[in-house]
Amino acid sequence: MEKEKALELKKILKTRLNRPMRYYIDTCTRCGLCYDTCHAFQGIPKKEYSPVGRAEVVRKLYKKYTRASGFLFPYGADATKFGDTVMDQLYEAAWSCTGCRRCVVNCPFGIDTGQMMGVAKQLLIVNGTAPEELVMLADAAVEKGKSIDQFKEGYRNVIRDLEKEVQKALNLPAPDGLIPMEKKDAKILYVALAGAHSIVNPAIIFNAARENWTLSFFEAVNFGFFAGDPEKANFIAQRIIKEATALNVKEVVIVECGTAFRILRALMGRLPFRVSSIVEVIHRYLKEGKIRVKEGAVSDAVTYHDPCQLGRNGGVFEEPREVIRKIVTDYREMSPTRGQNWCCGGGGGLVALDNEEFRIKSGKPKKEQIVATGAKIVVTACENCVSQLKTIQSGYGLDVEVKYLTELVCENLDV
Amino acid sequence: MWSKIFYFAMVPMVYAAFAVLIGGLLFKLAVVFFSKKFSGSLATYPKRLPRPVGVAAEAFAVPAAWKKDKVFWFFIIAFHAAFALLFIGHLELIREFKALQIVPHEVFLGAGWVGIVLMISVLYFFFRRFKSPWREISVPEDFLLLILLFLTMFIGSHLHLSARYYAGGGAFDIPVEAYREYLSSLVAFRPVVPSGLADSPHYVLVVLHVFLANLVLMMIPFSKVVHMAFAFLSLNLRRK
Repeated sequence: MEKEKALELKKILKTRLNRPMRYYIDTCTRCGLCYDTCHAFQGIPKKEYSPVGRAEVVRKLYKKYTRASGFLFPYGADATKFGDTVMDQLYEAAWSCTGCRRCVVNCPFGIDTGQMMGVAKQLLIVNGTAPEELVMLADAAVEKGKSIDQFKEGYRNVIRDLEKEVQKALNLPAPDGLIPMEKKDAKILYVALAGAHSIVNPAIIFNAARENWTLSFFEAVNFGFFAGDPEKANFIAQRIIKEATALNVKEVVIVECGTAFRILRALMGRLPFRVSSIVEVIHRYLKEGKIRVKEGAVSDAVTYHDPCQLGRNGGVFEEPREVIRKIVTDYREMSPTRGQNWCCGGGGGLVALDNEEFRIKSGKPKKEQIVATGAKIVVTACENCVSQLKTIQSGYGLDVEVKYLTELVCENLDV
Repeated sequence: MWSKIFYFAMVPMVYAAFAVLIGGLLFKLAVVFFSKKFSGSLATYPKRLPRPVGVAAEAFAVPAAWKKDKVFWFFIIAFHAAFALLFIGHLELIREFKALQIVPHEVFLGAGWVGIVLMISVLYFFFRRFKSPWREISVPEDFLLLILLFLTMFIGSHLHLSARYYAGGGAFDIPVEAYREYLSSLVAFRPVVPSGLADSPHYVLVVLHVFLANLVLMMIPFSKVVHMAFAFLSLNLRRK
């Protein structure tokens, strides 16, 4: 590795040395309690896929460049200099971690390997070895943020077509205004994804509840965060914050995307509006009687997969379960569940990469959980989880159907 | 020559060790508190207990280990509980603390069990690392630290046990008063190594024990033992 490159990487390493990172570098005793708590390790049992194995790659670099002990006695701490080998190790560590944070709840010190992998991802970007697809998607999102006016008309045309689907589903006389955009002082700004399903189903629900809402021009997914670029991640999130502030909305509702929800709700600091998941909003509508569902309409066995960023990292556990229990007669809980639920293996941007074989293997614990429930339908509330669960389903030949929560609700909406 | 080396380990090095320990910990904490905060929340759910209670419960009861490996949990608890008693025992070697004699006991407290529990626990931690997968994640520092702790505890335990249970008495019995005279003189910054210590045939072991303990103290801020301070801070982040 060239000296200039190593210096550049060293600089990045130091700029990321914030307060939590200092705890995570110094506190780990390598007790190994986290060793097999990662779904990837469960599927492919090698050290590189264990949380401590991943974190140690980053920790050894920090020890080399920011700790006197690592500088003076590198052998003692196994401190490592930047080089091609360590960059390869960083790639394997970072791009096998979904950031599900199951290891965090199983670490006696609460060490957040996901945060450490964020550093690894940024180092890979600077090294020029980050996955190109994610970097390009992040760049495209940034570009859209910079020149949104160019995209508006095209997007409105797409939305006009989708309004007809909403009209049909609700049996309304006309489609106009069923998916409002740029509506000032609306109560809710709904942030969707690129797929039509992420707009149509929530639009049906919002209209059924007679909500005063508006659709965002931006997609909720944050490829900057997935790629590990803090600047782009912040820019992409700020697009939504600025739009919500300009429209003076009271609440930003995030599509079924765990990471997008967590970024806005937990990682952007204090915001002038409330941030909710569409799951919480549906639950609220049912509780307030704003929408009704056909109770007990589904008799097939149904289970729910907690998206990690919504459940373990967002605290939304009971709302989706209560919604599902209203619709289905045979609800079956996975084991382990909630905070200890296994990640499906699709998060952290992994589902966007060409790594299907790896994801099928790392999805093994999820497959076993699903099979153990005997459910015929797996419901979840995250785009990445749905894609990955479908990969698991086809990879292992499971006889199950994977559904979005909004899809289940819309299919059984009592209008 | 040897007397100078022994004196160095018994007096200047002890001061140096405590200076490094306290200064090191303060430096570490200062660096942490002056470094950039994380602007968002790193919380995990569900949160069953309020923050201070939850942090204390996780730090002292180590439920993460209980759920995963009950034998490991047993040794973690045994080690840390014995370490707390070890600390109290050494306080009583400085002077008498009436409050600590609520349960009347002979100094050093624990009748030898404190050291034995510590040694067995350290040996467990040490040999655990010989086995896969812990072998793969261990670094030399992990073994060195455990060896250092074991040797310090082994010699300390020997000094205690020989004084307490040696049937012949006399030669190996360094009286508590000798330790108190030595340690209280250090605390008062008027250091002396009393003849009760220096003339004992066990003096070389006392010196070795103090020397190794000095190394342990100096390593605390710059090794993973700093988890004794940072564990609370990182666990707090998970509940913020």
